[in-house]
Amino acid sequence: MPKREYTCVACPKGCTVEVEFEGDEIKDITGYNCLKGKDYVEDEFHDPRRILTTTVKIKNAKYPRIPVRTETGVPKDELDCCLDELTEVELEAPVDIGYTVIDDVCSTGISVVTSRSLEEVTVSKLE
Amino acid sequence: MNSNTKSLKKDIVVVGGGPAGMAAGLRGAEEGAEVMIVERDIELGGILNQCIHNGFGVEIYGEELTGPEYAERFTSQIGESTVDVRLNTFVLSMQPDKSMTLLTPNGLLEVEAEAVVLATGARERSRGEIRIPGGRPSGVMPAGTAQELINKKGFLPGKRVFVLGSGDIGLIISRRLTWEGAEVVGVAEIMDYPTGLNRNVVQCLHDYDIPLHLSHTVTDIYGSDRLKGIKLSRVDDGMQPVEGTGKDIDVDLLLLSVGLVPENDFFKETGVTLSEKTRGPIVDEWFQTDVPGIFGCGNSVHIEDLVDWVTMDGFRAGDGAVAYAGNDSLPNPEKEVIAGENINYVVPQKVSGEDPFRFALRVEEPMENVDISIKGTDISFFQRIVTPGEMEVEEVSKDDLAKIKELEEFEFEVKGRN
Repeated sequence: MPKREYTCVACPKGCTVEVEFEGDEIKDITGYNCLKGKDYVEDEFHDPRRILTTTVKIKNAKYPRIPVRTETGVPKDELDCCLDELTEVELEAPVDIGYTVIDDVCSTGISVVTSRSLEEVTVSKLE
Repeated sequence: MNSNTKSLKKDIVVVGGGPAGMAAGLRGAEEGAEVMIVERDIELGGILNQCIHNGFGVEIYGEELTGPEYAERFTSQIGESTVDVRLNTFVLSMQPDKSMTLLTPNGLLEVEAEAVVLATGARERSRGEIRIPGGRPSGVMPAGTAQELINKKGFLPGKRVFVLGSGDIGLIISRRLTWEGAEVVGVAEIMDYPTGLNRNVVQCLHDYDIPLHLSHTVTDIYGSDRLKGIKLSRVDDGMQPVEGTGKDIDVDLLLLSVGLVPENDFFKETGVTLSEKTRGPIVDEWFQTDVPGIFGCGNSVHIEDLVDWVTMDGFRAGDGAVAYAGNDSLPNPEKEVIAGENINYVVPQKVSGEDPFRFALRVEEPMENVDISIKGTDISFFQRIVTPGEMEVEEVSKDDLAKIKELEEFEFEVKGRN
């Protein structure tokens, strides 16, 4: 039966947890020391997700980039697609915190929002 | 004083507008003090503005915010408060009597304060401090500098990268570089365990198959104009490179994530006594130093691992500064706090024993199932796992203090349960 090894992140101990599986089904989990760890590894096996935090371009602001985040975790396999889609975005200041940059990134149903506000800066101030 | 120089009086001057300074300043203003925050950057928020990853605020807000989101919760409150915020402003000199000269965009300004909070944060340890031999090419920089270039300036400083040090900044920048299309060829850690959080080792390195070389360090740097490569060597138990284990790796960027040191210049300038362990000031439970009316908080006192603790320390220092500025005497910190068995350091280093206080400590060695206790008392806090990379923070309550007020010193110790 195929096996996969995980390092648990539920606490600093970092247990090595081994999953035996067939297709999408977990047959056995060993090596965890608490239920939090078991839950983490089950989630990680069935549907690993990550919050993506990156930047997009912005015009007329004091910085050329503005930080953005996905509102919730996106499937790990979609991270590259999300990053590519965000490369195409360019905002224009002023922008508020929490402004929706993309409302359904890579057809995940998850939106990407700004994680700060940036006021408009006139050209004379930039010089 | 030059006749063109303006002068002002304030109850509290806070130096530094990062999370520590914002909390101290906000608390001061809330309690009715006239507060000025002096910030050399173009905006408040400090290093939070470049920490665009999430994980901030779990202790205070119960949610995982990004750095800029966490900062904005405070900047928006400060905008609505009476705090006098001075951006693009440097402190040129500071006297023990809490008078200082500022360089502002409009010229020099003399300020006299009743109390000063030095919330100056920390600096990254540089190549000079860890003495790596080799050339002096461009392409060798602290990880935080790369983080600023990428996240604020939109500039990728290298394409093939090696990271020295497995602290959280080094781990997070490795993932960030990968997302921006650079190749991180490896991370080296001189200790035999990673010094950053386990979660970051998994989500920043394992997720992208970035190798972590434990018990390794960089022993040579190649290149004259631009970095061409490094030599990676194994180290022995005494952390000395082992002859013959060196391996050359081609990279165009070497990032150093080898620790932070409190920015302590103004403490030194005003004659504050520093701790040899933390390299920040020795403080009491109000974060007051041994120069009356001069306070510290956050990373200027000791390197913290969560911004939430920095904020709470800032509030506490703000309370202390308000009391001092208002001539309410703070209790005399006559009891020494001692770092005992398996403890590297404890902050505060002295307390009055009259007010409940939060303490922060770092252990010397990783251990499991331990009691953090005050020697000779029944006050103890159980922890399943302690490691030097994670700060332990607990509170000694009023009830606890009532039981131990006879003690002349509080010696903390960390012992395993058998």
